[in-house]
Amino acid sequence: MGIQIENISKFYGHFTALRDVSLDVQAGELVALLGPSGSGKTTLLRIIAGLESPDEGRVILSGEDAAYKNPRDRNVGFVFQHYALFRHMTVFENVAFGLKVRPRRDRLPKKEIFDRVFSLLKLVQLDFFAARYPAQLSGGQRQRVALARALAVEPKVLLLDEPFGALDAQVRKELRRWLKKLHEKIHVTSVFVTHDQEEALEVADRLVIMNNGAVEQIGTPEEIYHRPANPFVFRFLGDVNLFHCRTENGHYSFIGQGGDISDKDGSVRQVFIRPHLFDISLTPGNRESIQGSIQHINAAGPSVKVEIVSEWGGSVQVNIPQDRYQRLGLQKGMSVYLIPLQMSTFDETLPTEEQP
Amino acid sequence: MSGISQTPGNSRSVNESLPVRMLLIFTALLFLVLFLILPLVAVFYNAFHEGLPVYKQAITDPATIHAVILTFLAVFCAVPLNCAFGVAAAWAISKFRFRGKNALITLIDLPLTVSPVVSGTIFILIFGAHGLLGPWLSAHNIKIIFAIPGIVLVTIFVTLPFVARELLPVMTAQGNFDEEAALTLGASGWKTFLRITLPNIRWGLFYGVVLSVARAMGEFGAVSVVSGHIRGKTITMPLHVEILYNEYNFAAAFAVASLLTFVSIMTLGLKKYAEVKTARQNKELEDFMTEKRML
Repeated sequence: MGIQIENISKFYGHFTALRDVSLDVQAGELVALLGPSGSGKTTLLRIIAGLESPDEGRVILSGEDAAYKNPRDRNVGFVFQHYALFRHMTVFENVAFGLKVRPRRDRLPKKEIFDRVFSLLKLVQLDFFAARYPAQLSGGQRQRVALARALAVEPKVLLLDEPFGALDAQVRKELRRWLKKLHEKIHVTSVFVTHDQEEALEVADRLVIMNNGAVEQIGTPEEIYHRPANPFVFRFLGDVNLFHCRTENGHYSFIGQGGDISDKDGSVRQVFIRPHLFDISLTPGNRESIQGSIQHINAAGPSVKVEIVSEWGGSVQVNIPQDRYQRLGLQKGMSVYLIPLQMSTFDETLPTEEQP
Repeated sequence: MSGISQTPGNSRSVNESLPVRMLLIFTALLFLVLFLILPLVAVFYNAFHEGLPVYKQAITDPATIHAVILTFLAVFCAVPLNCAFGVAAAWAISKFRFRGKNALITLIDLPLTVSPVVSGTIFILIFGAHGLLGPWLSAHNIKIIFAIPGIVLVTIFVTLPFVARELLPVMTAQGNFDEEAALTLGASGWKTFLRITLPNIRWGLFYGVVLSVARAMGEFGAVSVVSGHIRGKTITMPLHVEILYNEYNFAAAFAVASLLTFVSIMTLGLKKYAEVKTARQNKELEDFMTEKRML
């Protein structure tokens, strides 16, 4: 079933948690809400679940306005960041909880509950741990119990709040691949919240980038990464270097670095360049380039991270392939030229006041 | 959460010289003997020193039995009501945001800070013959002051804070994610309370109940004010002890006192048991949280 979110706003006193947010989630889709902390993504997720109510706007679950529906009647599975497993119950009892608390007339026979719980535990690869208590499990295992528990009631929508936020990097990577596979297998409409852009780009079918309670961009991982809609999205999806460029008759020249610029005649643009979209040259060449000197080199890793102090005194992050680094024979303190391979500009209104 | 973080051994740097240590230990022991052990021994000595038959006669006296029954009646009325109030108040304070929350937290402690005699007098001023509701009550022939309802009411009043105060920190620490999880899994409010909230707070609740039972049984001042001292009707155990003593019936007075003391000692045992259990539960919770945070 799909989720339609129409013009949702939410206020806490004077603080605006969500501002006119609209979003369509198709049935069977896996959508990530991505944004820095305080961007309203968890609030939006809780509103979909009915754990919070919006001050304005509507949530429509499979064509039905959910405004007056209690969370327990929404048929929504919710996985909490800290799992919220019931400590006094075994893994089995945790997963069976949603089935056992149904009103008597809708409740499955004991045998069926047992079968369903075990098939779910098998799905999350925890059937051997059925008799254990949450305190006896590792973080990753707890998260899988929480997931099995949410899936036990056969939710039409699965909502996950920072599902891997409390896990270490290695487990995190394994679990998110596993989640992706699981989603391909069971195809339940899913929305998950994360502040980790790598995670969102890897797992989700579509991303919703949020900032300050509003949606900045919605799109597939590819669209978002290669065609960010605005500087915020660009910056949020990875390291970026920011320059000022003057454009005249299709020609451009770098005139400065950093965020704020004064632009009196409207010909100055903000230019974004990712660290891996630079080439380093020892000679100026005939293309527009930025001059600087190498301050720091970190050659450990798949590519070499070079930190350069530009001609304007700011620092520029550059990533170049290992073989390129070897061939150039770069050293700390060397004077080099940076040649941008690809640049992005956004024609937004630039601040026009004089700098103090 | 004392009991959990125990100081590991005595570190040498804080060790005082021998005479100082002896002096401190001696002072502590002296006070313990003078103010706790001696009275305790005195109660049991005086209760039994005229022989078992006298003791037996004192505690099987109809007036004593009536006092015991009345005391337990007050306990059985006050404690469940205070449980209900305590859970409701702790729930409201720890899980919701509302106007007047701080006022409620402060007000809950009021019965602890007001002198019991004042508490009793308050009820006289409300329900007494010349009190606020006095004329209406006498017109409807309802007797509260100088009768059993009055005793129950003041007992409820003086034991009001105990359950709530025990539960507040427990429930605040736990937050309401468990309840939200139960809710999204389709559990009704009542089932969530029975199966999730109650197991989570059970030892704190038990501890609060033990404390309020102890206070309800031992309350003298407030009950004394509203009781009217009608023999065989409105006398609770502590009042009965006083009456017997004033009649120079020391053996009987101490026999009844020994019953109260015995209940107190049992209460202490139960309290200790609950403390150990809560500490263990808290430690489990803490380990659980730390592990989560470390991962």
